[in-house]
Amino acid sequence: MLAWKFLAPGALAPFTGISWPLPGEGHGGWVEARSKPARGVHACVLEDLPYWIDQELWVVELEGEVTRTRRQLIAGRGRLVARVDEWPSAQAEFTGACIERTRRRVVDALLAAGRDGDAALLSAPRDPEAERQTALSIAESGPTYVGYVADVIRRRPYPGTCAYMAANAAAAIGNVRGHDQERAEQAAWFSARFRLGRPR
Amino acid sequence: MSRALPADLVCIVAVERVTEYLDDVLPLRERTEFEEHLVTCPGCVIYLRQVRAQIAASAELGRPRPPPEEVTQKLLDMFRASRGG
Repeated sequence: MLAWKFLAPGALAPFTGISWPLPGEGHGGWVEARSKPARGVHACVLEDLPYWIDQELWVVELEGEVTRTRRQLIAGRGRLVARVDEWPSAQAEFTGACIERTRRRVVDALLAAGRDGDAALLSAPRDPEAERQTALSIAESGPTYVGYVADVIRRRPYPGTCAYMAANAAAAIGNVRGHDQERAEQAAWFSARFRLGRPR
Repeated sequence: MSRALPADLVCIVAVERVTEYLDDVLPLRERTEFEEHLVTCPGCVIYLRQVRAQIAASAELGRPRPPPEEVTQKLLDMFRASRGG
């Protein structure tokens, strides 16, 4: 089956440091699972992607027994098929979308709380640093969840962390459902931006 | 701020798990939690790299390293001299 995998620069596995063979004229060489059970090659279905963001995004082919675990696929072996070249250059678009969704959620929560003035202040367009300062000052006046806007802006150089903070902001406002919705929107961003479909 | 989600792994726990992670003895769920934490925590990634580098450097120390040729020669000369040439 085909799935996706984030790797560190140079097609390196971000945690184990394993170097994945690059696809040559055909497909890359296979990376085999280690002998221990459940220690296979890890990959993602679409909804897993936001949890594992790194610098390179690849289409991978998986073989052997493929099992679905919490937020990842584990397969007997896998190989790189093709790189999604537009990532990470589209990183700023992704973090920008995370910031915008967080700001929208927070503004809606402020309006629901009757804090129309703060909502208007946070809605006014300004540069990220000014927006961060605005969010911090509103948070200090009471609605601490507004601080998440500042957190998400501060983490924008790190898309994995930015996405995580956006999900936490959504959880603070909308509980687990909010979290799951934000993560789903992040996955939908990858799907739409890079035309990713279901693994097959 | 109240949390609506189960508590995520915090750095202090992640740091405690680094050795087990590198020894590959963490159960799958904890291993996944640990790796998820790494995605969101550049500081813990650096720590993991440091521990990995330290282990690699320690392994180097364990390897026998013969003294340089000139040192060996000097010792042999001294030994021979002590035995009267």
